[in-house]
Amino acid sequence: MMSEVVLRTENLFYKYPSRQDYALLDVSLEIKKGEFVAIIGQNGSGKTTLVKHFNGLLKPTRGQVIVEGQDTKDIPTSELARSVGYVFQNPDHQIFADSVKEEVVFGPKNLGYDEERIEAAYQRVIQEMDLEGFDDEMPFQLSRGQRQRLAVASVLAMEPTILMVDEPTTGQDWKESMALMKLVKQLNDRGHTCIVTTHSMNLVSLFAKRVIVMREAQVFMDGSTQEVFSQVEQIKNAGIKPPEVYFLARDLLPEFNLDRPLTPEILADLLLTH
Amino acid sequence: MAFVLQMLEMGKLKSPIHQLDPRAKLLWWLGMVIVPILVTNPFILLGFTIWVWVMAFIAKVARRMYKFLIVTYPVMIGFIMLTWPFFYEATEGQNYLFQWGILHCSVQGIIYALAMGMRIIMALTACTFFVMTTDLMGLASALGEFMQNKLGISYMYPLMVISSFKFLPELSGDYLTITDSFRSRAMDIDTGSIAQRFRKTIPVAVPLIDSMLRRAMRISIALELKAFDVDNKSRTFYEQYRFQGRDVLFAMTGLLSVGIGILAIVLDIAKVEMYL
Amino acid sequence: MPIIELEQVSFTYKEGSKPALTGIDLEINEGEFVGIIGPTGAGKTTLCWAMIGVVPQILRGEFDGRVEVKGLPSNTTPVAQIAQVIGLVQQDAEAQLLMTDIEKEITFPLENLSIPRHEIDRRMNYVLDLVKLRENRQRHPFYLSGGQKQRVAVAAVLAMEPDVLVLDEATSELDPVGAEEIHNLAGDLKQKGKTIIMVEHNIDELARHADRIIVMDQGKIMRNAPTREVLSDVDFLISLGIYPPQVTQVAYTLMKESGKHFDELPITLEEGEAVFSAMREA
Repeated sequence: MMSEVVLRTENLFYKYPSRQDYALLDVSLEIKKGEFVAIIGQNGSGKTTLVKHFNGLLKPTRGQVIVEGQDTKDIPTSELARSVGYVFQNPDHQIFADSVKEEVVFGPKNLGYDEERIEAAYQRVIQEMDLEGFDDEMPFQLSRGQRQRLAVASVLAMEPTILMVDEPTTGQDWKESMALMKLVKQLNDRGHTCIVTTHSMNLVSLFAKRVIVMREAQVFMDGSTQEVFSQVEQIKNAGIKPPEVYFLARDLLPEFNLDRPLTPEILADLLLTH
Repeated sequence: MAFVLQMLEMGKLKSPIHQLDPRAKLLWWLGMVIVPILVTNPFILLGFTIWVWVMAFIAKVARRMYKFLIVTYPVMIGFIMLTWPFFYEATEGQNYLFQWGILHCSVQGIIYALAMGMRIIMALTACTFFVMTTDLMGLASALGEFMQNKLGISYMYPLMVISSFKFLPELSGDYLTITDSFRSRAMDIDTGSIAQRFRKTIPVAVPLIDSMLRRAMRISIALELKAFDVDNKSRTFYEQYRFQGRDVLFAMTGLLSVGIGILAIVLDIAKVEMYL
Repeated sequence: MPIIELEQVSFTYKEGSKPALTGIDLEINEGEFVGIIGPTGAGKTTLCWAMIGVVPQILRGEFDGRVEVKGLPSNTTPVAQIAQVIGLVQQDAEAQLLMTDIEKEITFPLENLSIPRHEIDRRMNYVLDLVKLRENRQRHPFYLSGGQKQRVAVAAVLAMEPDVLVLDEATSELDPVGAEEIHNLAGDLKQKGKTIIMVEHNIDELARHADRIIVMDQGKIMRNAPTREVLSDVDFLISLGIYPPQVTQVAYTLMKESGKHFDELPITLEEGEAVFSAMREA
């Protein structure tokens, strides 16, 4: 069954006003409904610039970005928020309200959803993000992990079909990062298209099904997680180091073709059986 | 933001003017902003302005000054021309262009406005030249040394100025990120009436101030870790500035300029009124 | 005598509801490379601050116990003085860089210490070479990458010639390339005999350099033992929400599920390759 394309860029070029060189050079890609994509690359490779085009924060210098069939040039960012949710790296850069509830309903209210819909959405995301019982709490009293989940809840309340999360692991330990990524995976299982930018290759390997590697303003590699991470030498050129298990696989199981991302357990099994 | 940083970088270029002691340039600059206060004769002011441009060529900043001033000059002049002529109290015997009740404008009014414009042009040109040829951070440091060693004032104040220049791009970056995050939640701060936009600044201000406070806390710890002591009056200053002959000469030109201004007043040719 | 000594140190922040540190006993000896790991809230940063006196002098609260740095008590000796023994590099590079170019950043702490000009010159050239940032010395930090900014922060700290360098999650906000630059730098410094304490989430890199690892959780030290010993205890690490090196996880799985035997669990990639090749040949 062919899934529909929800996000598409066509020959996308972007140049920041104050800079000389292009931040994005001729980027053409398609993301289909229900995909779980990780976009990785060094700082300055263009990954954040690319992702900001998806919800219209940036408009192309040349080329097109089409979100759910509409050209982003024709729609203001505030409208695109209906389809594309963007969770920023630092929750403290967006939290402003006096209470958790006020924070979460802010987005849907701006979009003009009716009371019933907002209330239903609120109850749902609070439960999904494990923030029950905090309705009247001041957001700044919550722990960092809770504030992160609050930020995600605030975005989910707008009911976007596409969810983008920027660097969810900054300032988080492994357990917290895993918890957040598991939430994203649950949303993906429920049909949301999920796009994550991150520096943690371990997490990418555990959750993403597709990996796009950015390098010097261009798409350098694009394929399934196991495809991309297996090319250990090639990916080095983008300043990326795949998880250790891929190095082990390359040296100890050179002939083997992976059909899914590698984990320590899977590798242990393969070492015994091949 | 990149503009501010470029200005800082320009102060570090190489040219006969750049190599002068920043304190000498400061004194020169003081002179050049006093002159337009004393003198309103547009021709004298024009002469000074041309002189600054000549020095701009020597300092190799002429092209960049041009890029900046080609936009700023017209804005300044435009503003002046649209306001001053209407405030000039024309007297008997002067040529009115029109008169609608309290609103009036005369030829003399226009000449007067041009003279006022010239004052601003001269000051603006001198300021731009100063900023583009002086290592401002070096100046802050040199003044800091003077203040500490000769006046017993703590280095803290120049330090705050220098640090502000370091953090400016970040604050602006934070502001951008914060407004982006609000845009992503369907609140665009750039649209709407004045009243609407004003109301929108409140949610934006909260995370902005929060990030500023957090940063301030970390900076205060960083200062301790870098052994900064407000009371240390024997602090070393790495950058050395020594007034040489050519620095004295350059500072003197500032003084000379003021002298010319005073001379003009004495000779009764300093004011634009002589042409009206 | 150890360079840093903590005896029964407990601390609760003024606005804190529970203790950030409880009963900490710790010794750091000269030349050691000590890694500190643990989940968020374990007290790792508070521990760093306690060593350097920021806790309790700047960040106030209830402080118990004794901390001595080269014999100096940390709760009464001025922080600026302790900072000359312990250099701290923090997570956020931006908040540590205060000046408008790299040179000024390095000379600033030295000026504060009233060090004479020629000595400042010597130290500056030395540390710029060490962190490999000799060109660009006049650049505003805005133009530097994250990794470069942290290298500047490290240079400014090293210029003060501290006995101990503490890196508190210095790579957390960096991309892989930047993080690698800092880890390589730490490795270089270790070779030169510097005492290093590194708080890290990236266990793989710590496995390469650390002599000893301290595991913290909820304000307490849960384990304080040689690197291999700590990283081999896979169950323990996972119970605390710490992700052990994948190499170690693979070996552990083989051991547990298939009864394979390893004299020592591998903790680095090279060890893993050797051990697993040998296993397959057998």
